[in-house]
Amino acid sequence: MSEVVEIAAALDAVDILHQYSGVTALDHVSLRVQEGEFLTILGPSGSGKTTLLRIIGGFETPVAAQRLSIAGIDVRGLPANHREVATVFQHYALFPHMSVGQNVEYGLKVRGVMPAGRRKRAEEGLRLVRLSDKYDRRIHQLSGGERQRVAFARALVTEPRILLLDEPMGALDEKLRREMQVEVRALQRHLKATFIQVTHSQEEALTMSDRIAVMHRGRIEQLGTPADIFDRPATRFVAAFMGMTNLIDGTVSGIDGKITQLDAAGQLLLGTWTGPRPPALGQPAFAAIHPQRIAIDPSARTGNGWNCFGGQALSAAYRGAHTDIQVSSQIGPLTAAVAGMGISGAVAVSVGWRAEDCAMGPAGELDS
Amino acid sequence: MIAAESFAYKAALREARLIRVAVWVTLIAGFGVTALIYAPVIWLGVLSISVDPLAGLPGAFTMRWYGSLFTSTGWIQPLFISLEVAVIVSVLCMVSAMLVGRALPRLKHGRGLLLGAFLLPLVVPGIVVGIDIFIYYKMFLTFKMGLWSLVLVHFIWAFPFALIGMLVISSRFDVRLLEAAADLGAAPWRRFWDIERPLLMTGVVTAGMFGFMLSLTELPRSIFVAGRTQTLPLFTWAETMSRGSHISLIYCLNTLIAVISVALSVLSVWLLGRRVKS
Repeated sequence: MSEVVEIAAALDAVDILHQYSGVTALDHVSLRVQEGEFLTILGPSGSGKTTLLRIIGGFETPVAAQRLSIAGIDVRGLPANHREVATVFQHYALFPHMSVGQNVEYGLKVRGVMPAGRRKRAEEGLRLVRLSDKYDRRIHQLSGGERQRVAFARALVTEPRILLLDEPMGALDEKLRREMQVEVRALQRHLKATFIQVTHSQEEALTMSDRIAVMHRGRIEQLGTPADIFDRPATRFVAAFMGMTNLIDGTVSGIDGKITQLDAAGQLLLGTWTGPRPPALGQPAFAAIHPQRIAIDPSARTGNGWNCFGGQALSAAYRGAHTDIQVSSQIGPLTAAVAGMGISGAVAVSVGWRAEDCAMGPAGELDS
Repeated sequence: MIAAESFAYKAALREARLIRVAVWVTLIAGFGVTALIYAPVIWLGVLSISVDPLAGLPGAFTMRWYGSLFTSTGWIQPLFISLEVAVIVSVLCMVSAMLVGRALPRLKHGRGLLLGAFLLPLVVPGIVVGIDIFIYYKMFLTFKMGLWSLVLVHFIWAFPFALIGMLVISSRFDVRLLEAAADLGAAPWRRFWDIERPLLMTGVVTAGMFGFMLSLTELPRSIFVAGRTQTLPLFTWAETMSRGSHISLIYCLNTLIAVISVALSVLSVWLLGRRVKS
């Protein structure tokens, strides 16, 4: 018998089951997060992502859990105040009757740290989030972005084993959100801390994470690097959620090494199988392509490994950085994102994309 | 655009005129009602410094009656009883309004029903409450009436007001702050002491002030349950009814009570308003 001694993961959750009055919120979810990792739980509202975060934080008790340990300590049955995690809440939940400094010191105060030590660590925390001069301010004197920084400082000074982020950018405006994404990621790298973030924004997930767990209907549909999730979706849901608006259904009609062939109502498509299990001939499957990977009039590029179809450009929607062109093609309606203003009016076009940009996976729901 | 001579144009002008008239009517009526309330109080104050208050008309002015408050001291004992009852009722109101006020907003079911049950005593006539308590405790359970029964009826009377004062504050309390405190390591008692207590304090103080004030001036319920104990309102009422030698003092006493009550009410409303704004 050989036992592998493992270094305890920051989070080890195995087979978590949770229900709200009969409705399953978490359907046997397992998740392992390494020390120093930035993991994002991504999903639409109602997918169970917030429930999972609340269970890790200790605000909800799961109906059943085979294992739930933080830094090697079993936390099942342990209330939130005895867990070595700290949360940055979506609405910050700063204490309105305390100053900025008192807020940041609160976690140290309840741990019995003496005032002088508290002050020192709170000032360090505020410096980390670039709010050194705001120690004596009242909370209502701060802007939204500053409040969020205080929430970060307050959570970080307790030196939690895991920092939980509950849609921390949700209440910020677009520009500030982009800045904070970069800043929070840099902070996490600097501290070498473990962050678990919940968000419904795929952009946020892709920008900030080491790994992403995509949740849907109480289950983790796919767990992988941002590139995995974005380019190699395991399920139809992940493909659609990550912006692959071009989804074509068919059956597997050929497998040749890395290339899979899909028969979609008589039209043949070449793609790369990204499903969790290898494909089988005759299996119902989907093909998914990002709009920005579809070329219009790819005349010079037809040939081996390319899918090419004739069609009609119907309309163009200007999006700023690119233009979405709706094409009615031989294989069905498609959206292509092209640089610049694109084309106007109904014109005959041909559309094409490479087999490696065409993800394929099993049709239907993820099976258990 | 509407043509200047059109019917719609004239109607619009008429409407604007009507609104101006309505504003004036409302203002005058508002002042009128205020005068209805305050004029007697001011009148009482004026009479209390008149030489012959029983004449009903202010005459030559004197501070004699206020001076005699120091010499004929029959009112002092009732005052202390009233203060004793008021302090107990005030503390009871603070504690119970806080317990109920912090629990009610967090209930998932039956909140409206419970609130209704708590506020119902507001619409039960005071005399009915007084008689009910007397019949039940004195005649049925044969308890002796006195301080405790005064405290009980005053509490019944004051609690709905105290609860409303508390709910103004507690229904705005963000329970997520308690999650945040727990997340930072605070135990349940710590969360209450550090977060809830300071944020709910205004409501508690308001509840206490309502309890104190309403108890201090309560009469109809007290009449039935006081036993041999005499509160200040009972004293002034009895003196007024008997038209005894103390009658001129009553004007002074009532004026003082009115001034203190108004000051306390203004203070509690101000406190409440300040917290709600911030």
